[in-house]
Amino acid sequence: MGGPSIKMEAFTTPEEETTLPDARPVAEIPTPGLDTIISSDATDIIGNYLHCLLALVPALRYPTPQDTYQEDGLKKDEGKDLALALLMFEKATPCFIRRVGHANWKRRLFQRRLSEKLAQIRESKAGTFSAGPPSFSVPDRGRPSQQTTNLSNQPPAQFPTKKPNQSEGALLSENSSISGIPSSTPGTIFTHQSVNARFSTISSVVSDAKPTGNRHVLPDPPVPLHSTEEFLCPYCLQELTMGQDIECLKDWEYHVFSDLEPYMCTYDNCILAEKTFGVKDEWFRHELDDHRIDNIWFCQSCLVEFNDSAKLADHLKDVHAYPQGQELAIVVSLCQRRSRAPVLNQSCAICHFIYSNAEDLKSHVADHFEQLSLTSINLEDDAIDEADCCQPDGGSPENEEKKRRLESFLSDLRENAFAKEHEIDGEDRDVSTSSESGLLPGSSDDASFGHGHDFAALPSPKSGRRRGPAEVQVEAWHAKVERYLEEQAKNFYDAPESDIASLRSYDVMSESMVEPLGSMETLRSIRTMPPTRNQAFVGRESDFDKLHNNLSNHGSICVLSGTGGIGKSATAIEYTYKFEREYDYIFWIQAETPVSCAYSFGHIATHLGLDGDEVVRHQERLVMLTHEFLERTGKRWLLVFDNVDDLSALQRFLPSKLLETRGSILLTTRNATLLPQNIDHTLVELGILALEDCRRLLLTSTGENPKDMRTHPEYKLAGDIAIYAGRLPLALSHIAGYLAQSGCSLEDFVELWQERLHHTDLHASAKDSSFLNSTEKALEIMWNIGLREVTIDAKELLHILAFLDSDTIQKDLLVDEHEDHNLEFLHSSEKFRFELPFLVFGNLSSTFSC
Amino acid sequence: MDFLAGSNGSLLSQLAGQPCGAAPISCLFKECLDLFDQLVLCSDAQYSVRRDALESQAKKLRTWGNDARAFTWELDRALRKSSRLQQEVLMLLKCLWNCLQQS
Repeated sequence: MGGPSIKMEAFTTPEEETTLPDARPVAEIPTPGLDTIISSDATDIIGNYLHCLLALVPALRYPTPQDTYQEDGLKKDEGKDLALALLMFEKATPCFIRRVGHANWKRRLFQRRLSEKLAQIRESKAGTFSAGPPSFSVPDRGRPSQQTTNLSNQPPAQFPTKKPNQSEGALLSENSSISGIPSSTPGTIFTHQSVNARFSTISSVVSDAKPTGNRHVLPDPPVPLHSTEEFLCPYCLQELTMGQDIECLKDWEYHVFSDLEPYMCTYDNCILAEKTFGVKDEWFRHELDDHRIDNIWFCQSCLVEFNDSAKLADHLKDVHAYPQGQELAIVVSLCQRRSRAPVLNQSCAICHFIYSNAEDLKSHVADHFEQLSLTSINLEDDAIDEADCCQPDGGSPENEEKKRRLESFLSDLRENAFAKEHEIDGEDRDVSTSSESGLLPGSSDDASFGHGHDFAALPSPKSGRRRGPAEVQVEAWHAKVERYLEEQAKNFYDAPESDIASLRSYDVMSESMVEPLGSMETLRSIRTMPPTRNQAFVGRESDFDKLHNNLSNHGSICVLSGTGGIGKSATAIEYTYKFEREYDYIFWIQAETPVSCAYSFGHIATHLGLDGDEVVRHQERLVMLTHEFLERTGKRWLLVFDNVDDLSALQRFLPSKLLETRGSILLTTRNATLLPQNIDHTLVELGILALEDCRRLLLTSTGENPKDMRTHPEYKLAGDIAIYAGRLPLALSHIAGYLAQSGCSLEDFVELWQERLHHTDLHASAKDSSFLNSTEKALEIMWNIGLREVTIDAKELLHILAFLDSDTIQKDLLVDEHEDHNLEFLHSSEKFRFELPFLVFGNLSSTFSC
Repeated sequence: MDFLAGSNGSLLSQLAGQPCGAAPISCLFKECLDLFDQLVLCSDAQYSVRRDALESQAKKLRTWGNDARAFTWELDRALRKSSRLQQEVLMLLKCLWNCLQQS
């Protein structure tokens, strides 16, 4: 930049300078100024590269492991890994064995590459070691830190197997003496493990599972745990600092397994069947969400659940006399949600062992995967053969049967591979040769790119001008990116429809939670803008009696008041569902402002078809039509004005001749004196929840539904938590949500609360000791606990949501092609990333208006 | 092609002083961003249109880096088993780097 001279043949790669025919000779001329060089052509070309990169973002977010390593001329020796998988996972399906075997082969190959790279680094650093202290330790793979300075090539370690009649303790003590590193962390995979004990005889981590015989163990970290040394992780070559990145053995275990990515979906027909997961929870979340937790369809009127959408449709037609049609299909789709039943009696796809709860199953299946993945770092290629022979009862009939099964399996695989190869050769020879060859646009075979592809979506090259090499190259890249995305799309659409549907179910869920409007208006009573019913609602029985006694009279007005977070809106919502059969129409009005009231009234008119065939755009006209309807109709109706702050803003929306109608009005407000005395009304003031109701709310949130709560072991703790939270429904609903989401026990939560309380007190004393009352403090503590768990992006999103109407936040308002750096996390390409925050905070946001 | 050095080894070797071995994409991406920043700084204020265009493209690259997680080694890590895609991203970045470098 700004140098004395530049090369004129800009925008070519170094290789092209000598190969491309139209490359102009290098001319050294004085720099004419930056803007001459950054011409519009150049910015176009840069823009096109950026376009290509941006087009790849979805693929980069979820790359499919598809590496064949064939271009290296490596022998595809995955047979050994398939054999290993078959031996370790005897009872699994052939498809599953093929998947995990193939993944393990790739894993082993990748680790071998890293090993070679590490050896190169070790050689290059050898001088540094001799000259002085190294900047970071370069470990020998899988060997303890005491050996890191030994740079000689050592022969692969022999894998000791359990000797006949040798006790487990004896073997362990022998191994411990070899390693010289005491195994002192109880309850982890490192327990009683030594570095050289590649095979040990430790019993299964899952104690009630069938013992699996020989087990692989995780190598120790390359540097001592309590040091502060930097080192290169031998399994990813990432530079780590002991004490910062790795603080304990659990961290090391987590890091290594995230490198090895041992976990895979156990469902063969899954669309993500080939994907490997590095994080155990991420993998199991996928299994739960996509396979193990059922979708159900529920009737929002009578709360009956169905396991099939067709059954719900039949129910709506038969019981609620709902007419067949497109609207029915929409209502049915909006009534879908995940089953809340606990995941019980799930079987392991590998050994068919049945577990009573999901957590145990997760640990058990994860252990299977971890064991296989450890072979990729613990066993060298030739040692895998040894491992085959290391099976106990070497010449027994069982072993012979295994061998026979293995040979048959491998033979089938070979036949399938042969057939597939010939099919590809016959049909897609051209495509495969161009895509598999790994040729890049900068190479001499560029002519094969850029033909027959549609560039309509991309900035077109200027017509009537000879295209330069850089433009040709960019077009070639367009073609390549397009082809890659087409292949990805083809793979996606080739997947079974059921799998795709399961992926798309997230969209359905999020839509229904973010925009609940109009989803239930066609059930027993006609509703407009009804909020979703809170399935976990408890208590308020006496308040419901009061409300019902008053609202059952025609022309009555009831005011539901209370402090923020006491549950006014939630109680009103529950009332509309609980006594739904009393009314023919239930209209929900967002009454914060006159504008929102007018919108709600307009919606009533439109929904009931009061505007006839004419298109009425004047809102006043719609409000008037609604008034007329309310005054004239002979049917029972309930009008709920939610969150009223100012009566004067509301006056024009209250029916003037209420006593002459068949309607009732329910208002929710913080202001108990909202209505003057001269207006006949009944005031129902909500207080804090009864302690017993608080306990029920908390105990049911943990997934249990005890018949007699008093006998529940956490009954007292639930009471304690309720008192901490001031028995405030808002705080309690957050706590219940947190317990349900995190799986945290009440005992752990009490500990967490005390810790945050201490922190809040310290914070308060540093500022002003009286700045929070007990309710606010409870809410602050709960928010602090909850916010600790969410990502930075989710927090940013919450900051934005706080400024919006919590009842009707539209996702499309937030998600866009943002270019502002501060809004990058809401870029449309981040769609999959912020679905989760929307799902999580959909519940939270519904409580904001309380 | 070698996963860590490969065809882009010559380029990466130019990026002296950077620990590119384990995260070549991240390394190259940051180089491109730096080049963009330098270009924007050096551009003449009177040609504000082109300066704006450059700034806009720099933003796009930053957005891409954020979306694809290229600011850290996460993208390199995610692509370690998809070498074809990794090579394509590397080559795209390399071309972009060349473009910017020669500007």
